[in-house]
Amino acid sequence: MSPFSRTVDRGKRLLGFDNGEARYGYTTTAVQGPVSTSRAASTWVRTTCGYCSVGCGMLIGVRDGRAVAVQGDPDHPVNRGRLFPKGLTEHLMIAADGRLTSPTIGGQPAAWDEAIRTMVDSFKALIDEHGPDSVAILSTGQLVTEEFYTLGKLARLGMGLRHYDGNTTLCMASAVAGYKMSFGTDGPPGCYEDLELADVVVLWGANIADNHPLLAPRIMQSHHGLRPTIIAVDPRVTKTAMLADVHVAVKPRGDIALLNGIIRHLLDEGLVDLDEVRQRANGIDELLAHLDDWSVERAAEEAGVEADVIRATAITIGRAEGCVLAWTMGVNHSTQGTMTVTLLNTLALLTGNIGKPGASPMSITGQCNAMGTRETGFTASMPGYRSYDNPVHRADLARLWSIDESRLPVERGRAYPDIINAVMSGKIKGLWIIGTNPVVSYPNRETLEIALSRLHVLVVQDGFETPTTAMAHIVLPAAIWGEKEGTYTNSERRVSRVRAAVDPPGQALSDSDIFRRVAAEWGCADLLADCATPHDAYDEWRGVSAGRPCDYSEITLDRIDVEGGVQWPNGAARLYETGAYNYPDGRAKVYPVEPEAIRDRQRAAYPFNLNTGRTVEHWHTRTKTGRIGILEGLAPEAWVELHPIDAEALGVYAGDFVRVSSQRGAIGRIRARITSIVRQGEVFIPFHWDERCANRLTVDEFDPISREPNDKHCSVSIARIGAR
Amino acid sequence: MRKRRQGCPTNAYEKLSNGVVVHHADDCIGCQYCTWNCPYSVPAFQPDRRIVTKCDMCQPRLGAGLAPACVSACPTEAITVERFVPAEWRLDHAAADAPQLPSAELTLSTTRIELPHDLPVETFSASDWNLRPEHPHWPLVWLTLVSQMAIGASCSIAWGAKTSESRIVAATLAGLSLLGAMFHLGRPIAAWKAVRNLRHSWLSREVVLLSAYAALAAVAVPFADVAAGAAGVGIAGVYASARLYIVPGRPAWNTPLTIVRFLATAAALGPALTGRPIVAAFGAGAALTATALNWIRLRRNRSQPWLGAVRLEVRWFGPWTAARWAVTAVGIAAVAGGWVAAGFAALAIGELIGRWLFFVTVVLLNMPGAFWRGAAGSNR
Repeated sequence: MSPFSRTVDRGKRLLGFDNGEARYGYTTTAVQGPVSTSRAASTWVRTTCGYCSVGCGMLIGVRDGRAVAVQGDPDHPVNRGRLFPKGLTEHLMIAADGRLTSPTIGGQPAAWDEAIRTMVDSFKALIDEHGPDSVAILSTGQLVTEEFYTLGKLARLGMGLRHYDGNTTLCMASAVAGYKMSFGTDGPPGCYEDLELADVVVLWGANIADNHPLLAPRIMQSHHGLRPTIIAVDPRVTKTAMLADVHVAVKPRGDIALLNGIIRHLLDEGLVDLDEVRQRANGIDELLAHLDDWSVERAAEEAGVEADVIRATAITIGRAEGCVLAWTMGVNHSTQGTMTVTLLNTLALLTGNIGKPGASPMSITGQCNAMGTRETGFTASMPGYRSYDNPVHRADLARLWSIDESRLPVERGRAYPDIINAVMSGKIKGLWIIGTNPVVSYPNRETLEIALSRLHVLVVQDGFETPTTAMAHIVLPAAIWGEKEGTYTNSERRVSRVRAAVDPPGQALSDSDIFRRVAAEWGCADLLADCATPHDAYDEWRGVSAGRPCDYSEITLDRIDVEGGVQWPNGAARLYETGAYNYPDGRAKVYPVEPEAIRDRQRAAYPFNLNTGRTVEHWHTRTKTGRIGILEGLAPEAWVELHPIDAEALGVYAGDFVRVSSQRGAIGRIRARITSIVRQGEVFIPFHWDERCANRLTVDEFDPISREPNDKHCSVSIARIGAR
Repeated sequence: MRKRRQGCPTNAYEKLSNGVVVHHADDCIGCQYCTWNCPYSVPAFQPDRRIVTKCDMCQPRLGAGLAPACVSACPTEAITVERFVPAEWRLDHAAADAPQLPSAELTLSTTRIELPHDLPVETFSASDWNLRPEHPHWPLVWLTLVSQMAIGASCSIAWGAKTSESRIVAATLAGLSLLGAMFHLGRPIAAWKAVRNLRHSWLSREVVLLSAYAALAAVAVPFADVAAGAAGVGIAGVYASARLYIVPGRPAWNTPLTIVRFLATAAALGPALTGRPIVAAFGAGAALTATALNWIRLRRNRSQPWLGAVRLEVRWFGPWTAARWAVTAVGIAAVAGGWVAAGFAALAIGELIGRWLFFVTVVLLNMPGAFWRGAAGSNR
């Protein structure tokens, strides 16, 4: 276009020749009915939402090779046509700005071959000099299952790396470890239909209204008649607590005391059939002996909840015909996360709320395919929930893959925080980060940034520019949701299909294509020979999972298409319906749990407890949602919630800027929201923002079993820094 | 039965027989006057289209037997569309009232709101903290200020100062004021449509009166006898200008004091330009007095759109407000003391700051919102 015609066009625009009616006026399409022309789609692609793990079925509307609209899939069993704000704007994510379109080396665009060769050569040089301990991988919960399966084989067998973990350790590792300790393997036992069938739903540290929104209507608008009694256990009056019938405002880290008190009262009231439980679970006597020290009054004192509330809650749970105990990060994000999970499982076992309709201890997972990596990944366990130290499992895998058993790793290797610690101490010198943004999501940001800056080679593979890609030596541009094929598994173990609606931008490739290129350059392409396409990888994985608790063998892609999503194992709605658990003796296990004090506790210099969390408008570190105008417009900035009495003492008014400091760092300016949603002495900050990053404050303490961070409890101080 | 939205100068709004008000993009010139009239911020200017658009309840979807898109999209079925009987609704529309929501009386709002049963007696809007300046609308600062200066000059001329230079100055200012106003429109190409709604819209009347004034002022250059007629039409034009700011949706403007303020600007600047220092001094004094009286009026109501406007002017823009008063005081002293040129410059600067403050310190009536409603970067 010539400068002259550009000037003419600009002039015509300013004079208002075009009022946009042709772009935005109504058009009618068969699927949508009357709709703005800008959103009128000519074809529809059936897929699964790529944000949280609820796993809603949806349709992407495409016109002229661009995603222009989305609709909930009315036939999908999870959401029945409904979507929430992030899902409803998901098509806008694909064409958002900030996409990576070319590999770069040292910030300069490079060809794929060159980028992959540089990466492989650098990693191999490190391994030659410092051994296989010197290179590690951190991945995500947002690839498709086929890619996790491929990556696991590439990392542990092909590249022979000892340290490979995912950001899933930052969100649901405690649930995994807790399930393993209670039942012998991982695997959420219940399903969403249980939320509708239950008499009582306890949402324990689970703000589903913000974080798993499409589960809320499943509870509120039960298709089976009566709405269950909803009990929310949370230190904050979350949106979920507002829609609950009972809100138990437990003190931070008070939930172990609260659970001990509830179990104590159930035993006192004779609401536990001990004889039956003894037949199904080990460890009952130790539990009972431990609970001798726990009176309801002591529990009330330590949980910050009135004794009568504990009693009433126990009675409600104990008398329910079916009770779902659902939890998320309020439980998992703690140095005692794993043990708290076992205690929730114990409560379910004691009250018989497992393995039957309308009852289960239900961990609601975070990312869209965190479950896929739990089952296929090669991190906390080997693919198919196999143990590194179980000879039968090892022989099994060696046979399935036609490899020598000695090629299988003998142990899990370092978990996420231990990888970071090893980077900090210089033991790990090369790191490949895939689809995650630790600069914003990892606790104690300053330390993390120092660690990453010490790496000799940092390779980051992502769809968008992020603060982490900005630190990388080599950047690999990946396709994102809507641009690739595969499957996701949701929180109720339901496998749904994910499809490409449009092509990735520029030179971006799907993650599985990138893995295959790395394998070829590394010289281990033969390992992935049978995973040439996502379909092939899925079929291979089905074979590998056969006979395992997470059995996908009968869940063919065709069957998923017919049923709109199928639960493992092989279509079963619930686990443990026979009363047999996955320990060798078929019994579950219960544990006594004693609460520990918060280590970075409130004191004169840091008088507030900081709780972190999320808001419905944003996703993780906003690398996606921060680029979508509608969502940004609903929540444009981070904020800190402060109780009115604390605010008055500090002289802070609504909307004032304050400085929040911890022993580790500070947020210089953040807007104060004065609200009794938080308890006095406690503050809350959503963690999504790179600017005003909550993880500058959080403490890098981790659960000793799951290695999950303690993101809900650390102490901070607040200072007013003047009016706006 | 059609009933047009009364503010729109181009009759772009149409009330359908089912009660829904629709907006026709082809008729809209992007003047945004409707956005001032709506106390719920329903019409919104779309920079991409350079016009205003509003919810039409998905009229074609209703026609096809479908629910509006928002109703279909809501996962918890919180929105429904229902039929109502206009006559009954006119008698009792209390169901459309809610705490901190502008009264349903203002527009006879038919959005029925079901409140929670346990709503506290004292319920506030979470967005109340968020007090921030409005858009300055520079073309309108220009139009009102320059047209008022010209009309003030024309009045002064009609009163006796019959130099041809001053008539040329008045005519030139009148023309320039209108030219500048074109930059306020999203679609200047369709500016002529602005005169379509003389029956109801003060904006149409303003356009016609100020254009007629400019034409008469031009004729008055060679034919001095027309000057009195020009002055008369001009004053009517200032009145029409002021009237279009008197809308319930903008409480700080919604007062006869706005008419006083606009006329006082004309009395301050025109006579100062045409050598009538005493009139100019009184005019400037009246402008300051009317501003101060408006603060007293607004302070009686503690709600944000009233008290917040005063806070913006005296606190947020405190230095600017102080500068306006100081510069105007200097201007008054200067014109009274015989330094007419310097005095005119000071008064013009004072009134310029004052008119800019008039636009940026208004606080609109709006729906109560969540914490970020109306904040910088939010969807307003």
